[in-house]
Amino acid sequence: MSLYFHGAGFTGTGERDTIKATAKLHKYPDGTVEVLASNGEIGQGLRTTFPKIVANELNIPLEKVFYNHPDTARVPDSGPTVASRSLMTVGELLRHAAVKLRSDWKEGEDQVVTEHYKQPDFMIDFDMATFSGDAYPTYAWGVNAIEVELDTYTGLVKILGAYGNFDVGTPIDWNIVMGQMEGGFLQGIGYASIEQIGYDKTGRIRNRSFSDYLIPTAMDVPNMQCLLHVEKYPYGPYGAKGAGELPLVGAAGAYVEAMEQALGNVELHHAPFTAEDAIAELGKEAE
Amino acid sequence: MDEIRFTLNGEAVAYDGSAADRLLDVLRDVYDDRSVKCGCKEGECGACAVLIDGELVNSCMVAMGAVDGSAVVTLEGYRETDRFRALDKAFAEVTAVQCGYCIPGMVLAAEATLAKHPHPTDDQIREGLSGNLCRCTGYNAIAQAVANAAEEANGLW
Repeated sequence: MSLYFHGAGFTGTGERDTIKATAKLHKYPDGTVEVLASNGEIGQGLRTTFPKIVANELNIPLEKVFYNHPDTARVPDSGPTVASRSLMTVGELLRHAAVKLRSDWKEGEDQVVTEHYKQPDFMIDFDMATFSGDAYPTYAWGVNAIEVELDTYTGLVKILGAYGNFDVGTPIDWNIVMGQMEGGFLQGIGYASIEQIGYDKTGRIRNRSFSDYLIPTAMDVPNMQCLLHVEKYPYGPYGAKGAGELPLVGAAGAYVEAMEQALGNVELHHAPFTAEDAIAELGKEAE
Repeated sequence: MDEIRFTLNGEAVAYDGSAADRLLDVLRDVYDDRSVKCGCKEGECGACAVLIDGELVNSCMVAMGAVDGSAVVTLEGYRETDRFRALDKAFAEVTAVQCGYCIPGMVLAAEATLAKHPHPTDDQIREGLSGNLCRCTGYNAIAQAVANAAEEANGLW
């Protein structure tokens, strides 16, 4: 099992001092609203979730709000698509912009609303020299449990179950968040168990293809179950926190601990812990 | 040299290039079927999967000479079918698509699976999809979508 957290957004005062995000809403005379931000849609669902936030705040149908793939010639710099920040930080900017637009809504007119990032008041500036202060405005949390069956002849492991409970705050879209949790969790299980990267003496990575860098298939973890636990973050949109990175980071701890138990309460200290590692460990026990 | 004759999405075609050309490249570059993705070019990832005489095959591993006389189906053809519409709806309902790169191959893998097992178990679905790698979803949603499509299909498969 593992219990772990992951910081949401940029470290320390990074959002305020380095990123300085700006986001815009453009309302057209026909009443449609365009989201203008620089965060890329890479399957994590921003073209759905950004409009959902704006449509909800404006109380208009979702079909009236759209977010095109960003073109940096047209959109403001709302920062990069990294650090589990887009939905929490830029989504909240867009929510603020929508609040402004709603109160200033003029039927049939062309309107643009701009919103700039402000650091929440409660944050204590993070000092990079002493590493003190608030490293992150908030944290996402996870608990993972993994059940394994070890073949002591071959070292091969069957994953009987993988269970994850994740707190990323309020899910703006349940299916999208669950997709992020399941996908990240399986990536983490791959990292924990089979995704061995080998180096030669010059440091060059020896894996060259999917034939010698294996990632999980649909058959590797058929019993993976995820849940959401919601602790709202008041400065994220409707309580949403960072979600992208969290589900990846706890799987290795849970998996390697399961392997410690399977191998008879040994102490293991590295990931991935592969079939070859299991055989080596079983060999030690045999001596 | 004789042309290589086969059907592509139901249409008779004749390819006059080399028999050693790769089906993947020919589908994309000659016939403009861009749903066929190149992920690894070594038969591992399934992004270039097509149906050849109903069998799911990675087109990067097929020389054009081997295609002579067969029926090749890509997503460009499959998407005109009722079976596709059932899968499309099922995939959308459970948000089974994230970045989308694996999805054309995944949908054809679903077709090949359901053609063999109209009422599939979860194991059969996962085995059917196991030649198609997806790094985004963790596969749960995709497997669920295939199960839902099978259940709602009304005898389509």
